[in-house]
Amino acid sequence: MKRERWASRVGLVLAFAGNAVGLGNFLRFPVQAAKNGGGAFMIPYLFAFLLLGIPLMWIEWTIGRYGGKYGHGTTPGMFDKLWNKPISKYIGALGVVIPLLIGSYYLYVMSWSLGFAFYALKGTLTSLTTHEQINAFLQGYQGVVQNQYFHSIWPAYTFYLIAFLLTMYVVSRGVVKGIELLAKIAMPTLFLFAFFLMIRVLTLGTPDPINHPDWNINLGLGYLWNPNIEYLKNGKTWIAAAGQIFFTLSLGIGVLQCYASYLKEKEDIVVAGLATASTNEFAEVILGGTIAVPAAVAFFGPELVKTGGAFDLGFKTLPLVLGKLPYGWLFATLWFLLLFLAGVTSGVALSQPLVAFLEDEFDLPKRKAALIVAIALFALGQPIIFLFKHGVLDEIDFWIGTVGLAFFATLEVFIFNFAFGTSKGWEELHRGASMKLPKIFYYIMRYVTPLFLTGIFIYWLATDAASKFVMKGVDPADRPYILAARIAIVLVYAIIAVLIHIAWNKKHQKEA
Amino acid sequence: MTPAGWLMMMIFWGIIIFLTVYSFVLLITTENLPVPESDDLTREK
Repeated sequence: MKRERWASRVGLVLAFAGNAVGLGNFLRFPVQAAKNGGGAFMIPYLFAFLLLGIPLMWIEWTIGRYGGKYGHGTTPGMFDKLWNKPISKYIGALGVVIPLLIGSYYLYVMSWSLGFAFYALKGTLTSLTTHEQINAFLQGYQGVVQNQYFHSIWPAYTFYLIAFLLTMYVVSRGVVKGIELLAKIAMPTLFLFAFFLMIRVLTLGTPDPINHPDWNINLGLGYLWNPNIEYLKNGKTWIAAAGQIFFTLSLGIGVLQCYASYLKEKEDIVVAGLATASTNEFAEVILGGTIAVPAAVAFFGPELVKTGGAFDLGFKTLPLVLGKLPYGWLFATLWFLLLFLAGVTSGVALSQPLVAFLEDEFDLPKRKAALIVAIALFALGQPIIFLFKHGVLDEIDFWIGTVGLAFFATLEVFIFNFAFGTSKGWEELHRGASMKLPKIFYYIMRYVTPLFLTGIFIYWLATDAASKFVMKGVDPADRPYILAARIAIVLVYAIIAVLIHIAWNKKHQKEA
Repeated sequence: MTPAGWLMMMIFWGIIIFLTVYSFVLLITTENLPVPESDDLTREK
C-alpha cells in the first residue's frame, strides 16, 4: 500500500508549526511568563528549549521518519521497530490514545473561539462591559447555567458541529490535499491577524490618562519583560518554564511522530525541525507575548492579570479590553478567529494519528479510516460536552493532557536512547541533513533530556497527582462522573491495545 | 518598562527572529532538486 508524503518543505514546516501553534501560544505563555518573574522566566525557558524542547523534538521527528520508512505512521509500529519486544507496541499505543482523547475535548474548546468570533462580529460580545456580564455570558454559552444570554447549550453545540465537521473534512482529504493545504492557508492568515492585533496593542498608549495615568502599554510590556531575578531561585519557575516548552512544542503526544512518518527518507529533519520550533517561538514569544497581557495590563492594571488564568485572559478579559476600542467588534473578531485558526490546525493534527493507525495497520482506505475516527471523536466528545459542568473535561485533561504526555515522552526517550541506541538515532537524525549538529546535543539527548523529563514527570506526579487521584475538593455529586471519565480513559487504552494485538496477529499470519 | 526589561525583550526577539530567518533560508536554499513524479507524493510500504 502506498503512503502519502508532504508535497513541499515549506508546506510540511507550516503543517508541523500548525500543530504546535495553538491556544497556548497566545494565552498560556504570556500568563506563565508574567507570573514567574517576567523577563527572568525567559532564562529557564531558554534552557528548557535547548535541553528538553528541541532535542526531544528532533528525537520525535527521527522516530517518525524511521517508522514511516517501514510503513508505520504511529508509535505502536514505530516503537516495535525501535525495540523488538512485545511490550514496545503497547507502550506505543499511548501515541494513539493520547491524541484521540485530547482531540475529543480539544475540538469542543476550539469551537468556543469560533462561537465567540461569531458573537464578536454580531456585536454581542463587545457590548458586554463588566467582568460579571462576560462571566455570565461564558457560563451560559458553556451550558453551565441558563441566563439572559443563553437558554440552552445548543448555540455552543452548533459551533462545535461546524468545527468538528470542518476538522474531519480536512482529515478525510489526506495529508497533502487536506492537512498541508489547510496549513498553507491558515498559518499565513493567523500570522497576518496576529501582526495586525500586535500593532493595535502597541499603539494603545495610555487608555485612561485621567483615572489611571500609569496604566499604559509600556507598563504592560514591562509586566511581561522586566526581569525579577529572585524568581530564578525558585524551582517552580524552572518547572513552569519546562512545562511551557513541553506543551508549546506539542511533545509527547504522538502527532509529531505521525507527521514525520510522511517525510521523504532523506528529508532534512535537522533544519526542518529548527524552522518549525522557530516559527512556534515567533508566534509564542513575539506575537503571543505582545497581545493579551500588555493590552490587559494597560486597561485593567497588573493585579487582574496576576489573579486570572490563561483562559480567563483570552475569553473574558481581552473581549472587554477590545470592546473599549473603536471598531472593537472587528479586533475581537480577529482575535477569536486567530485562536480558531490556531486551534483547527492543532485539532486536525490530533485526529491524524488514529487515521494513520487504521490506514497503516489495517489497510483501511483513507476516507473509511477518517469516518471511523470521526465517529470515535464524536462519541467521546458528547459526554465531555454535556457533562462539562461535572469536571469531566478537566479530569481527562489532567491525566492525559498533562501527566500522560510527560509519562509517554519519558518512556519514548528511554526507548530511543537505550533500546534503539543514541548512536544509531544520531545517525538517523542526520540522514539527509544539510548541517551537522554540535556533538554536545548527542550527550544532551542521551543524558540530559531523559533526566529532565523524568524530573518533570515525578514533580507533576508528586505535587498534583495524589490530591487529584483521591478527588480532593471534588463535589460528591461530581465524583461518579469523574470516576466514569477515568474508566473511559482505561477503556480507550484497552480498545487500542486489542486493535494492536489483532493487527500484529494478522501480520504474523500473512508472513507465515 | 525598565532598561533591563527592554534588554531582555530585544535579546530574545533577536534570537528568535534570527533563528526563524536563518532556518527558513537554509530550508529553502537546500531543498533537493525535484524528485521523479512517481516518487513525489507516494511511497511504497
